[in-house]
Amino acid sequence: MSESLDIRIDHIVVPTSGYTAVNLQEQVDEIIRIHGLLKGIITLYPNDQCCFVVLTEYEPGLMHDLEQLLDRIEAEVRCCVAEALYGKDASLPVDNGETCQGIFKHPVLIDVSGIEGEKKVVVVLEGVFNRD
Amino acid sequence: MRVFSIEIEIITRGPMKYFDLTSVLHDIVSESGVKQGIVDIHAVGATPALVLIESEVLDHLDRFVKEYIPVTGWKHGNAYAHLRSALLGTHKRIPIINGEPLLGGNRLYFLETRPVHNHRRKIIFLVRGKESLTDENN
Repeated sequence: MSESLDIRIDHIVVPTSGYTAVNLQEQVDEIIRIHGLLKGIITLYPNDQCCFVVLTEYEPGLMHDLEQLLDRIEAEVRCCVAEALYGKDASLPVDNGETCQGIFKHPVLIDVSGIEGEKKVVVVLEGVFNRD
Repeated sequence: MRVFSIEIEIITRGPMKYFDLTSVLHDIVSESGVKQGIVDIHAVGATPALVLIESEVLDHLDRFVKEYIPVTGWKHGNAYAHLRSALLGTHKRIPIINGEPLLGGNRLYFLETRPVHNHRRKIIFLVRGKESLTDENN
């Protein structure tokens, strides 16, 4: 396969309490649809401190377990260490205009900043786009 | 610019079993014809992981993960598998220089964290870059 590549940048705005987990799958699906990305990679990068994206199943019990795991990090440095440990960004492959990561896995924004308000997630779409 | 993608399948053989994908990675990069570029590797599913590490310290990583995220003590049924997968990650991005993935002494491993045998797992490789080391317009 040899096709013309393009790269586009957009963003998602997510209102949070400052200590939460938010499933970004719907916004990701919508942004892929709007830009017409057919095949490639989508990368999610939260710009705010102490926010990061993990790829995992979004289920209340599991989110509680993740919180319990993060609570084992010393409180004073928890947000920075957690961000460094998991890395800020997450990438997903896109094929036929859909992310293809399996049934249960979703991009989940973890916000441990303690700051209530809107959080910006930069979205980089890379690949082959619909020309229409 | 060349774009090359391929999907392979792994048949799992139990929890925390590491599959060395280094030679597969080299073969795919070679097949792609890309000399300068990048390869993204994605493991499909919420419980596998991809690990880039020196083979000599793989056992140390394995012990750390098992100690930090034990099997029991969680709310979600197979939380340990999801938590291990989320921590280690299911995506790796590696530059390609002179037609070779830049591994710097590391090896690429696929890991299934759930106790599943004979389970099919997909891994997606996306390679893109220039086919020539010299032609800027390639």
